[in-house]
Amino acid sequence: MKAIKVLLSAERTRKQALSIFRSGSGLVVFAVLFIVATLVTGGTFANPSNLLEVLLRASVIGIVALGQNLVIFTGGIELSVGSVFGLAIGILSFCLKSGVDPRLAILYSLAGTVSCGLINGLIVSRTKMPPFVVTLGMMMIAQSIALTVVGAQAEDMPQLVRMIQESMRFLPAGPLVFPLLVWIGSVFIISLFITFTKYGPNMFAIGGKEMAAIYSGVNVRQVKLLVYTIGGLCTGIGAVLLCYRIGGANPLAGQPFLLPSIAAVIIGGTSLYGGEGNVYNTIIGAIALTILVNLMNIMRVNPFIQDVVMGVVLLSFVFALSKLKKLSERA
Amino acid sequence: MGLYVLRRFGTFIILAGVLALARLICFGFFNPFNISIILIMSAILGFLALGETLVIFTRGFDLSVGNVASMSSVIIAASMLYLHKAVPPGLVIIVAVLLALGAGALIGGMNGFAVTYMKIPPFIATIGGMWIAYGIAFFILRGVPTGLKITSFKIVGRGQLFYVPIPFATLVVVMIIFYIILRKTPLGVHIYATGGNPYAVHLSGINTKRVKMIIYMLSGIFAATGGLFLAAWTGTGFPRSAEGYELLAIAAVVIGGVSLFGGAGSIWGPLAGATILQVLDKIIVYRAISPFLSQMFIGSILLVAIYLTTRRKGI
Amino acid sequence: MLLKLKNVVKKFPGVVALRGVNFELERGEVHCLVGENGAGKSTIVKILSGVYPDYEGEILIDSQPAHLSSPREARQLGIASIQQERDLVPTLNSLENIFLGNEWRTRYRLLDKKSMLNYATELANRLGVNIDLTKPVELLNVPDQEIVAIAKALSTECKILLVDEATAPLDSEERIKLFEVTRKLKQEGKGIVYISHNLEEIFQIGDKVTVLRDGRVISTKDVSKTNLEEIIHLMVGRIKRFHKQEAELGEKVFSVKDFRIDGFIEKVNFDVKRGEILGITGLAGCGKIEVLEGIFGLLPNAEGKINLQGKYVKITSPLSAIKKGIGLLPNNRREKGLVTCRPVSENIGLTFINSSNTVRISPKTIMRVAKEFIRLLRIVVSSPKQRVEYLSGGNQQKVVFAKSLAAKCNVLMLNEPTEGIDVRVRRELYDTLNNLAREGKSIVITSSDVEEILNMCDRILVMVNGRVAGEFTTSQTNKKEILEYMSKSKGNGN
Repeated sequence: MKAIKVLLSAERTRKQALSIFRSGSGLVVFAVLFIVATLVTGGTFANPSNLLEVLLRASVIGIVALGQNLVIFTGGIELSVGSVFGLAIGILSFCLKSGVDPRLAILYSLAGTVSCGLINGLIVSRTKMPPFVVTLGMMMIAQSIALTVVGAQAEDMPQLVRMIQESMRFLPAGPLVFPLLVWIGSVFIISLFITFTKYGPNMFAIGGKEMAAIYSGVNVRQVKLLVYTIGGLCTGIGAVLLCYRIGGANPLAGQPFLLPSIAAVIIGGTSLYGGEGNVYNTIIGAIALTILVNLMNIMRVNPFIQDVVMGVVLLSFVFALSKLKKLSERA
Repeated sequence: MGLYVLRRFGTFIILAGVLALARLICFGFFNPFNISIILIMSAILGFLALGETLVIFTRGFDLSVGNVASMSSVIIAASMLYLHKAVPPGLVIIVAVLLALGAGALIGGMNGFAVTYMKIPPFIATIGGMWIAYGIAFFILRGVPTGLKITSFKIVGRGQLFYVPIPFATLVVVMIIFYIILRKTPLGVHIYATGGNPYAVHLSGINTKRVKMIIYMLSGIFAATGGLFLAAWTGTGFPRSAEGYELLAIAAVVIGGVSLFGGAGSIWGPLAGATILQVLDKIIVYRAISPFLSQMFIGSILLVAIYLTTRRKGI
Repeated sequence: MLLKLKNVVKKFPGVVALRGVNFELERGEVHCLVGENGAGKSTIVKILSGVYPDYEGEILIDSQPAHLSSPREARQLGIASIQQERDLVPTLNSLENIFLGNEWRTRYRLLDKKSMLNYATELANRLGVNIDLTKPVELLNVPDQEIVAIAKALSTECKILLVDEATAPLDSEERIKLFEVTRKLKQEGKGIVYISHNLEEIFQIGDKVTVLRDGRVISTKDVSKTNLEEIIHLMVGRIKRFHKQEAELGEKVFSVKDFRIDGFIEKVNFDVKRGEILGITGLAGCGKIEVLEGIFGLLPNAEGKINLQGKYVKITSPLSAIKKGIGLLPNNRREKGLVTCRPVSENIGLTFINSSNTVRISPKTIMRVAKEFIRLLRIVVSSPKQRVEYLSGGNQQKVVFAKSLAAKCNVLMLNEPTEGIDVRVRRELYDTLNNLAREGKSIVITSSDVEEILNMCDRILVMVNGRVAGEFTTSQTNKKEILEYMSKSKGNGN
């Protein structure tokens, strides 16, 4: 189309203002939830110990969502995070029960999750199979391996907890905020990775328009492989954090983390199709999600209705987001 | 040529292979009781897979089918519980079935609305539907497994029509009807077209919104039907009875050779896929292999089947 | 008066595509629409077929006011169209595509497949073609797909037929048959709006011709009362010829031998000197685009030998080509050239961050490089961080240019570099190419615009149906000769 006169400043600023709002949308949701939560609970919510609890809980969802986020940037999806999470727990249980040093146990379980991510990455990058299907298959395989190795009961992991507490003693309140430190630290490192390595722009290019990425000389295979592998690593770390927080777990404990990991990414404003987004926003998304659940618990909302509410919230959110996008484009 | 045969009949070849495997390693596998169970379970999964297949034809996705099925079983149990004292049994059954199917249609309609009018990606829209169905299922009976008060209803699940279990016979009849619709009516062409090239369809003056709404509602109704048979067979309504079935349904569709990009495929492949999954499950139970390993088998078969069917498109 | 457009205006965000178009079509008339890329021809067709329902102005069909608010309504009003993006459903077969949205039913509301098949076969015979109607359309070759699209439009028994660039993939025999059908339709009293870039067709089939430029009707004439030069002049306005400047030609830098793609392209050989611009031209589908893409490592079926500075190089992927200093500016910038949702700076940097062997990048450097090229190529953006999708077509193309230039390639291949670009930006791009040649780069351009090829290239290759039909030195040939070579049909039993 011929551009005779591109309608200038007024239009342009309005458009950009709307797009900023869109990328900060997680912040808006978070702020709203925070205020609602404080009001509804008559201040109980804003109690520092409750807030800390929320943040700690959010750490586990957050770190899994981080790995999911990178995969989604490239236009893919990781459905196996729940099962791989469980696999990590299984490996931890098995090792600790066999008397392995907790540090080594963590290493082994991370090795396991990284391998799963690697396999996913290899299959996705080298065949034309859609990520949905590949990670679906991995989900089933990982879950079954985990359950076979350890069985379905929860195991206590006091050695793990003690080891981490010991090593975090040097920091005031170290043992307490360990999960939070790991989470925020990981997000920070990943954001450095995105900004200062070629993989950042490459990831977004693949998600935004894979064909253009190929024509531009992006090594699509390598990037996809890397992204799924990092995803596996994040999932493993999440499992370790969960075991630390609640002192042990069973291999099925990973399943409830799949959907929230995706929801956190979306609430944070990343498009499900990839090509744009920001890992810091996903922090907000994870916290917002945790606040929602926390709020509902405090209000003693029937746990079964909680799922309904989450469903409704997610739907309305995505709807509002897409309408906003349309508005900012028409501007 | 060889590749063509593999693609078209691959699923049935795998089915034959799996049945042969059963014959080999499971002594006495093919007794009437076992066969009956396999047919019933395949039918239940088959209903979910049928709905899923139709949705996938239009390049969509339905993740709510499992929970809708569970919800349906709960609604049936609940209706019987609350009505069986006041109303004649025949009427109770009718009401229960209508409520269950109606709820399925409602969730399906909701999914369809979200996808067509709110333009929400199907993946997310149906996750929402899934959660809502889950919530409703739990809410109605507080999550307590409830037996069906009208025990005569169980015959729907366990009875037979000319030696064929009723659920399976029903499924086959429904599938024949839909086969005719897909191949011999304009709606069928429109369904495939919507998945193949939505722009071309719009340009031809076809109302794609209407097509998609119909499809998602059908998916909900079929999922509810599956749940109905599940309740009839187990005699119980439980909110987690069909947990995880949505993924099995998608697996059945993919093993059945239907491309996830939509626009083409046959509905018989997914039925074979569902049967394959159920036979594998039975083999594992039969040989007392750790039930956890069943997922491993299914996962691997899934990957192989998809690899064989995804060779089609280029970049 | 069958169709009348009165002062039709169509605006898009930031762009006015049509500014008050007046147009008339009579029964039994073929009215051609011509104009450069972006003049507004396709917009008119899209409005008339109901794809763009929000337009201003009046449209009258059979002297009755009509508002075309959807494709369905356009159909009901008797308008059928064959559009540029062959909108067929790839997974359905030809029969289903032809009757899409217009399916014939039997008494029982089932598809009347037999009658449809008979009608379609008869239609195919009328068009003089032989197509397997039961194969999925995606398995047909491009000319056959075009025939299916044509059949689809014809099957609706319309009053008005809109034809947008339908003949490009056809060979001369098929074209002749299509014209026969068009004449029959004229006799039946239908009105046809015909758009084609092949100006000679206007004189073969048209009754009237309207020239569009910049969204305005410049002039409407009787075909019998005008000629080719006048039409071209009206289309293009006063334009100073733009020439390739003389650059010192060095030694042979880049050479391609025995390039082929089985079943499509045969035995293409060429070489390019330092400072030289080689042009490859031909009709759509002749293979010129695929030759460059194949060299760039994008097509696994491509074979051939490539020599760079006399040494044999093996190119396995775009990245390996770039690392050796060979760059490709693809055609179809929206799909192949740009990641439209990302900022301009990121797009410009996308290639060079991959061609260097380091993993680390410096956002500051990328921004600096981006700003430099924005200045150099005069790209109009509010900021380097602006998303590419908000740029106009010409500026987007400049970003594609910048990307390859930033990667410091010595050999530059460009596929249709001025596709969909207006005259002003074209000149800026030609300027850039001249500068590059002067700096000693070796350049290969493909283009279906013969004028452009003649102006910008030192030597020209003409491709027809996958092989090189002729090689010319620009100073020793002219447009007529090139066009003659291009229209050489595949009559010799291909």
